[in-house]
Amino acid sequence: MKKQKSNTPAPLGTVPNGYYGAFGGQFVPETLYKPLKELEEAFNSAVSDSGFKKELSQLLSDYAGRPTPLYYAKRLSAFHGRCIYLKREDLNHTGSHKINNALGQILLARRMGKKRIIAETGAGQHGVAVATAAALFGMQCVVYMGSVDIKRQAVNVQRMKLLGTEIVPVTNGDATLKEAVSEAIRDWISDPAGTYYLIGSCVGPHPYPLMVRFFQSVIGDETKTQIMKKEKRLSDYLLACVGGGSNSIGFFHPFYKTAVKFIGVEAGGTGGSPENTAASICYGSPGVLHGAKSYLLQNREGQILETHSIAAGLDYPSVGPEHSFYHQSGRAKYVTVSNAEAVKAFERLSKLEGIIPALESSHALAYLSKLASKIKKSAIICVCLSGRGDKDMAIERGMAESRKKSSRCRT
Amino acid sequence: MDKMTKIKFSVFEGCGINAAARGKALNIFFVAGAPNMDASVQCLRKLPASGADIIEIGVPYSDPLADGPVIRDAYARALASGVTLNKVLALVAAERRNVPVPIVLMIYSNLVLHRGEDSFIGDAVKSGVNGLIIPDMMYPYTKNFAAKCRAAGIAFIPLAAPATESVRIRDISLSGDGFLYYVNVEGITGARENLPKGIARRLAKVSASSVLPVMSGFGISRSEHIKAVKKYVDGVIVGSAVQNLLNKGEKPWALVEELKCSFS
Repeated sequence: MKKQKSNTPAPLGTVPNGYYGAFGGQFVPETLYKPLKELEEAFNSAVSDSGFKKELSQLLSDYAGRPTPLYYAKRLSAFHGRCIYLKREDLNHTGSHKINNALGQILLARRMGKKRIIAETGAGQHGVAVATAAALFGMQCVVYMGSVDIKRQAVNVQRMKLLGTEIVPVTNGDATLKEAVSEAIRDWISDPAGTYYLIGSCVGPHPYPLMVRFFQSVIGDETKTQIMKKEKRLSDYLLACVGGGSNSIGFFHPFYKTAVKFIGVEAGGTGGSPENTAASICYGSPGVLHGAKSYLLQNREGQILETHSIAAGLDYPSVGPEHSFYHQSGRAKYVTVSNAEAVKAFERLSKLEGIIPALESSHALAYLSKLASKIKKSAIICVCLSGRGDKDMAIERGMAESRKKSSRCRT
Repeated sequence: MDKMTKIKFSVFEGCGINAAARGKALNIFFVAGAPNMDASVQCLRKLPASGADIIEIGVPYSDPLADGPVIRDAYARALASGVTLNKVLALVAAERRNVPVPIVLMIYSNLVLHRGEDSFIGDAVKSGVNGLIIPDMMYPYTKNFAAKCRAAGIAFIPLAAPATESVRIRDISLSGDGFLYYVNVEGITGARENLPKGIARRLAKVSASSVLPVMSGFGISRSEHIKAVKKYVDGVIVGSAVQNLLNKGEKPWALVEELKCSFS
């Protein structure tokens, strides 16, 4: 029997019943049984329909601006002493990788005859992507957003409103991404037939993690072609930030069967204890949240912890089930970097390369300082620059000011 | 009604209750520890005399996906005052002999899985719990869990929803024990003005497909709701309306008496 070519991506059908090893599944109220089944059927039929695929790839190229460049970061490479490429998802329309999934799912929603789109958002990048896609297709759009995030991501709130989307502030609990997802699911439970829930990360009940991976795999597919063209070989490492984990799973997945090492960087926050982080894999344990079995930040009783990260898009107490599987099987390594380290990397990339990265993506960049010196000189590292940082200017300024203050105190 | 007599209801029999003689069942839900543990003790002691045929206790959870504001607030309050699963089980164990009706727990998946399915079932049985309702554990995952419950002598009470097809209702009901919890509305828990249109026809169909007695819940808060559905089901579940009173520090006995009367 002929052995499968080593760099062939794992086919769609490798997810029996929505499980990735022990993780995934469908842990939701029975009311969602039928809509999830319909969604799975619609998705399966869409991805085998050449018309659907053609329309999506045209939208991705003409509207979103794909393919995004794989950029050799010369000065950053010199700084770290290793060869570093950046996958420029920040150059997508709307400023992040979120548009890949938003366009894919909105086509699916239209195919299913849905008129109303709902979504959750943390940093607002997914919210903006969905608001954009909904505007493009003339659909009604409602975005749930934690009131804390509304405050710290004001620019994105304004963008969504301009795009014609209604923002529903979520005030309970931590008032961040976790509550926004819960409220969106409750909305969906209340109108499963008319509403399409456009989830933004590879979390949630099956088939969402699979769908989001599918629509985001364009990142890794392009990277593979681009690095082969530039270096005549694959990179040694792929480095990406992990909140829910959609940019990283899309980046990693096409390399699943290669020898390329995956590193997922979680939000270490201010560190010290789990609730000062949003690092579900590094500080968590398996459990169920938002419909899937995965690693979670939870207390001894199994109550979900409130989380903290300077990056709103990473501020979530769970992670996509496939990442939990990658972690447990050892396929990927998961690490953390702190708020302060992320901000430093944010400033460094701005100064060295003239690229202002999102605070989320800055977590991946920050890990370069820990990784570079430990690996061989000839190593090539590809970093997923998942989004741009315009939205984070106020937070960066705040950090810089408080740093100045504390350094004044010391002198 | 005849189904009530052949209930695989270890739930009722364990309490020495002749379910058939008692008529259609009123299941009253409240959140453990909300507004405080004393209120929960009072509920356990007084609700049966007011007309509750089954008592359903909600175990406080940080992320109750299926619940509306009233129950969510109660959970948040209970958690803030330090209510844990162990305290809920201890409450049941301490009061069990004072409560002449079945006690079932409403608990979210993560609390069960976090303890481990087997240890959780063991602990629940030990404390005297008769049945379990897990709103975010979906069939067919529930099959294996329900079998473990059956072996341990505790009823796994399955749920069905408006869009659940007849064949699936049958399968779901076959996998469980006690009763089939039929969720009346597409939505979360909470009082509503009206039950959905066509509820009577729908309930008749659900009852015909289920091998278990059917109890109807979600959106039932008043006598007129019970009057509208009682003919088609074996009982009803009232939660938010009761919890709303408890949250305000009021006693639910009069409401429960009135609800019970609407069966006759």
